[in-house]
Amino acid sequence: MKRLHLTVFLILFSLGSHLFAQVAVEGKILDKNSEPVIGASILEKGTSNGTVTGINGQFSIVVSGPTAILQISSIGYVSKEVLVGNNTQINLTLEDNILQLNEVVVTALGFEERKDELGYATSNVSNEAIKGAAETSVINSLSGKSAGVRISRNSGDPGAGAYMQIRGVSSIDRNSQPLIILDGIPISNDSRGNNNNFAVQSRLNDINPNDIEDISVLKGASAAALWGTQALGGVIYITTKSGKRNQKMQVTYNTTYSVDQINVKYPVQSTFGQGTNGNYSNTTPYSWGDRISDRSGEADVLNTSGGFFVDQNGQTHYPIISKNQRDNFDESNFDQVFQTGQFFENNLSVQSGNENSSVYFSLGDINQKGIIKTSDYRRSTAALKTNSRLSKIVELGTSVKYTKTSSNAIRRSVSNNGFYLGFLRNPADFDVSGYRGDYYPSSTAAAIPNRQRSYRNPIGSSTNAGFNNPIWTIREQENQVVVDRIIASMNLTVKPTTWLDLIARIGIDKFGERGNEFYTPGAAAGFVGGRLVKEYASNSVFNMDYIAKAKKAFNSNFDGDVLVGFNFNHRERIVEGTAIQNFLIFTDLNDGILDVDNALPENREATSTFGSERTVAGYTAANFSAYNQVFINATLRAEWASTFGLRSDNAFLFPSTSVAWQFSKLPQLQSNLLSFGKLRVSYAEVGVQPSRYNTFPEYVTPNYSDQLGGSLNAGLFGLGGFVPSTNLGNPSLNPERKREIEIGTDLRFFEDKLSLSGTYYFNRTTDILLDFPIANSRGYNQLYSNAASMENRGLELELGYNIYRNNDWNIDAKLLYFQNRNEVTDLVGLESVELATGLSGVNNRAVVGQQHGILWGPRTLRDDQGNIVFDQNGFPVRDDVEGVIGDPNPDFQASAIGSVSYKNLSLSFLFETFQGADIFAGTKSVLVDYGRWGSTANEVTASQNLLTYGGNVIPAGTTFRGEIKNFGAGPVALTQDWYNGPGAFFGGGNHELFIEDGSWTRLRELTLSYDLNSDWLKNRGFSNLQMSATGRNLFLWTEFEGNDPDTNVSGVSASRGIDYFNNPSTRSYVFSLTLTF
Amino acid sequence: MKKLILIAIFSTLIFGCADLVDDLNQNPNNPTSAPYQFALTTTQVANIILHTGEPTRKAGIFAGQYTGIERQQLGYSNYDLVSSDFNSHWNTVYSGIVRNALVTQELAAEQGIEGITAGITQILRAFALGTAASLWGDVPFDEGGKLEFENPAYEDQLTVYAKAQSLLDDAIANLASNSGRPLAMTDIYFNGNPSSWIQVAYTIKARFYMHTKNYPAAYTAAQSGIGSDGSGATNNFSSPHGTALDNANLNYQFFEIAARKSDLITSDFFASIIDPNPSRSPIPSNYRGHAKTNETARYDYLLQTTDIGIQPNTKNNGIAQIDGPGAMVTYAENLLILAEAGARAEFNIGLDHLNQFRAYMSNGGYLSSPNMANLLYLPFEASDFNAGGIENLDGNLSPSQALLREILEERYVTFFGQLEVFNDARRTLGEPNIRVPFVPNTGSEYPQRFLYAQSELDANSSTPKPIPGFFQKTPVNQ
Repeated sequence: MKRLHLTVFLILFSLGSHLFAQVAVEGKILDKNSEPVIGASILEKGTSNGTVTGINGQFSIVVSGPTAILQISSIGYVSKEVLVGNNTQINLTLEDNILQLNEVVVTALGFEERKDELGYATSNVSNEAIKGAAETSVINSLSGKSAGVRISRNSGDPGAGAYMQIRGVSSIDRNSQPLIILDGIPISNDSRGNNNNFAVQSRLNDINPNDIEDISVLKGASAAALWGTQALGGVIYITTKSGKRNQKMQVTYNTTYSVDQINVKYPVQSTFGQGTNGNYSNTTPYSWGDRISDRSGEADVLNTSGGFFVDQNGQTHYPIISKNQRDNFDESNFDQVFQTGQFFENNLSVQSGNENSSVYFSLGDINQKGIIKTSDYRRSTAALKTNSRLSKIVELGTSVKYTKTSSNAIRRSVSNNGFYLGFLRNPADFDVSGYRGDYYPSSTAAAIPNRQRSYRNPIGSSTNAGFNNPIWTIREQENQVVVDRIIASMNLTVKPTTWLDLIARIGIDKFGERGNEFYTPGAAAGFVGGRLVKEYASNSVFNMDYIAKAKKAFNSNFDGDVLVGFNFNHRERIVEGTAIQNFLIFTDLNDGILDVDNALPENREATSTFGSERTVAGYTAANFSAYNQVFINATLRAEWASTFGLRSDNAFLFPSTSVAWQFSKLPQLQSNLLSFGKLRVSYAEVGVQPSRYNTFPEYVTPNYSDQLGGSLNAGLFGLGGFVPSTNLGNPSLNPERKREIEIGTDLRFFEDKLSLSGTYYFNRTTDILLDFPIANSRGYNQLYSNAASMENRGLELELGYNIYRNNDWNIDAKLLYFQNRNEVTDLVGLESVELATGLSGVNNRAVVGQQHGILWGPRTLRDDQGNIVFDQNGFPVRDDVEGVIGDPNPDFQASAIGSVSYKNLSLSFLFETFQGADIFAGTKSVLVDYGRWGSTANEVTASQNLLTYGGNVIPAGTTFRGEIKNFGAGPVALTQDWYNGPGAFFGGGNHELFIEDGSWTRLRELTLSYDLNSDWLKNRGFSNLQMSATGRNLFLWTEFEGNDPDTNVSGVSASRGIDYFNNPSTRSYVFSLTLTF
Repeated sequence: MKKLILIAIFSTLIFGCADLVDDLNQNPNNPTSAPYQFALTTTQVANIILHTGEPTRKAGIFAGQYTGIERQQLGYSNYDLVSSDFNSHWNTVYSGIVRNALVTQELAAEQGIEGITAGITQILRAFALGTAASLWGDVPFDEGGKLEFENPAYEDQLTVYAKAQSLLDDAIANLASNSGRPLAMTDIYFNGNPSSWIQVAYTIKARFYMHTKNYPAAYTAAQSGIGSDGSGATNNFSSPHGTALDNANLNYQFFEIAARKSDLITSDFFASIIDPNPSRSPIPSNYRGHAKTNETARYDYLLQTTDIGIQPNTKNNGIAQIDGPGAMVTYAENLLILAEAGARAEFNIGLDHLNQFRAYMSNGGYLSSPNMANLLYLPFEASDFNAGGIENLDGNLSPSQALLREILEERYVTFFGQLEVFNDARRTLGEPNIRVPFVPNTGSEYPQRFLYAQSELDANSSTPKPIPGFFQKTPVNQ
């Protein structure tokens, strides 16, 4: 009714202004499939006279006369102009606009908007781009696809999570990863239990990439402001696939097989064997022993008079008195623990629709075996999405997604039970094959069963293996995690009038995560008596939005819409767990017995925590457009949250506003060169809440750690212990608040063939919440408070060019560039704040005047003039005081994406580069210390008398194992004593010496695909068959040795740039077949 | 009309928002208060970490008793230390002991319990702060462990010692009040027995007087110290332990369980002093035994040979057995304070007390179930210290000096695994004739202090500047 009134009004209005020689024109607009184009805009050129097409693509308009030109445009189609002439009936077919397929984007609330009318930057990643990445996880498939977005991985472990960062880090302690919204519902992207011992998953990876239609990356505060304190890190809006109305059933089957290899190997030396100072020793951790090739090659001389070991293969091992054999076991040791990884993926989807409803259903399964034997990941998914028109004004959508994942992760990094630590430190002349067996203290003594044999415990005489034998790590330890997850949502839309939509969205995301961590007794370090951890975590996010949205066109030059909404968001987590140590009855991993009673009560530990928090908000947004040229958007969110404790009565307001001006519509700028030009500017505020339970004082039972040793649990003494937590809560907390201003432009040239988009942003986060370290001498360690502030400024550029296009050929290229400068501007007098995780020796910190997460640790002593201070032998002296030693943030990152297609054959590639970031080569530093790193086998001849670190003289002409180096006080000899001292990791290591360039460039993706849609297929009921082959991570150019520099000890974390026995990354060859019928 | 209804609904929702989020932020997982006795026990547990944990291993390295052979301990042995190596020790003193002692005292007072309980907390606090002064020099005393001071002020080392003495006096007075005994079993050391605590307080006073070289005062205090009432070692201040992973003896946890066990061994110098077995001893000539002394049983109690080397004995009846007590302040120390302080006044007084100690040892002393055939501690005669006597064979020393040398060596052996060896080493550095003659692990300088913690440098603007170096003497040793 209203609609009709409006149309009549418009017609009358136009009649009023063009009283002469009017001509009434009718017509129909269709697409290339002869389907009606609904909502296409019909505008009489040079006037404000216009209309839009109706449900059958029909329109009618009264124009000024036969000379009038109609401009017909619709999103996703190439615009057309047509002279009215004498026609009263104009039917047109619009061509798809391939160059601008992504012109429609979704906003933070999931409404579609024309990208050209937005006052802020967003970018879209299509289903094809996600699938093209051939990754098992959604997050990794975003790598290199959007300027402003950084995806940081940490290992190639199956199922491993990754850290997402949009426009730099905006918080010191709180998560500043983007909020994930799936079809309008915020979902969890937890990385629960993230630490440096396991590469944990990111929960976003539970979503099957095949179910995704499109991902919108809402980068800035302005784009995300309607989510208030959840949107500090921006928003990633995922739209999943749905069926379409009036579509016959379409079935798609996809199968993928991938072969995965280790991407980079550490260079280790096999010239010198286990030992120290040039002498063989079979108990030392070092590989500073004798030259293996100098040995006689005869049988080793064994001590058969005392204890010995019989391994799991029945092989007997005696202590070696004199090592004579020359075997190098590096390769065979590698083969015993590494394999060619693989995954096999199958997906089936069905979609269909009739006049009033549509359905999408899919099943998916991916089964992955990692490159480290026994590591695996399996994800099975089912998805159902329906949409029904219940009446003319009521629509109901439902979506259910179920995911089950199970995985086994291999312990890594800072742990003597870790994989690479025991593997890489293992000397070349030690065969790891016999890893478990019986130790006989003497030839007459009874066997002591189930001892671990490792290179530091070669006959299993000690209960402590020192470092795990790598076979033990993969065969006698596991960390199984099984996740069940359901994300369900309901979406009710009522359109009581043409100008009003009432929308209710209700969603629940619930997962249960069951973990079993098991260590067979005999594990090195701490777990000698066996350890079992069973844990169940349940997490839920419940979210409701009620939105009323109204549209109003004032006249043909001005229109607008406004919405008001209410949001309710409740999150809950329960964790229940039991850990036991020192098994009473011996059980190993193979027994599969997980009995928490198998330890004395005092060696059982129970955890049970419950946490919940709630946010409610009212919000409003208004859009206004003038002359189809200027678009103004403003939003405001008022938010209340439980985490403010006593201050939860306070409402916190988050405003945003943006303006877009399509200046190319100015008549003066009409040209063939510039086909589109837009300037945009926006300002917005977003924030982050305090973490829960930080507003009241708490009493805890401390477990006092004895640095480098054990610990004492106060609960095991007297009648138990409770004292105030050394972490102080704070009753008056504010949200962290990020204020961002963004200016940008979107330009297109040569009929949209060339596009350039540039954005500059500046943001400042204030009131950053921190567990603020306070002087320990006050009796407390940390005070939670709003204290710090930081800034980010950055530049995002996207350049696209359709190089060549005809009926057969299409060549596209795209360049993305992104740089961000972060600066911690205020820490309220603190010199630095250590961030979570990291190593004890080198860690990530926030330091005033530096970028967030700089590397901090022991460094070289310098005098007041900045000159290195040398000791009497010419070696640099290490400073007693630690400081900044490196910056792991890149100067810039960029990617180049290209595709070439000829008929049904297409080739595409993605290069990505990451430049100017420091990395601490911790693994190298240790392996140098241990004489295991490749270059430590170097031998040089002294050209002059040289001093070693210990002050010994190496006479000129002497050849020695080591290097000659001039630190600035003349050449010195770097030998074992230097590396066991400050020259490498342990023994008071000067870690500044191992800060290296972590820049890299890689061929991230290379894909060749072929679409077979011949008549032959069609006659057999198939519509399409696509075959593709993808190489992932095929080439890596970097100066960093040993591991992919995109590795990280801290896992899914903003703390980056430390390599310390992290598990390796992978390179893959992926083959895929998709059949549609 | 519809509009009005909608507006009404939304208004209600928005004004109701605050109610929807109220009262959800109280952590259901932790209490917000606790009775005093739990804080008392916790303070006492933290005390164990300071006096028997990693600080004692560092002290042992700095005093030549331990040698680090790998990783961090190797660095400590090479005197390559940075400020963050001391974070946890500083934290133990202030967050673990001092603050918790204050909290205990306050919570107890709120419940009307003072006297003995207050005295115990004062002893724990004074002991921790005096120890901190001995390790770091100037440290916060009055403002230490109190949240209200943003940058707790540092006080001179000597002032801290003086205040610790006076706090111990207060404690003794409180303990003598005979009221306010803590709830049974919550004092894990003496179950609230005031006379035991009073003796401990006096021995701590004596120890601190030794640090400041006030030997007469030390002698006087020790006369009221542990065992002064004839109770012998009954009132030893030592840590109780069990067999659970998180309550076992800390040296057991380090040398038996932790990965770092392979990083640290006993120094050749120390092991050889008490090793009677020339085929095992790294330096057989170093053995201190003679016709009147057999150290076999003591060696067996203290040390064992493992795959790694010579390390503290973690077996049953070893010093580091799983549930073995960790010595902090003992009857043995009290006797040796009397011996040294006495000897510094008069030869015969010192000799008498030394023989008192040897009598104690000849009955097994602090050893756990020793084989009595393997020990011998016959009393010394004055002539043993004359030139040519068994304790003055080279004859270069006066009898008094020879006696002091023997007493200092006895202290060095007896205090194995305790902080006191580091204090003695620094205190006697200027007495080359009588000090225990260990040499620096590297270079020619002797370690003189713990470095201020990085965490403190970061956050307390009162921390002394320039930051004193590792080899810079604290005032009492200058």
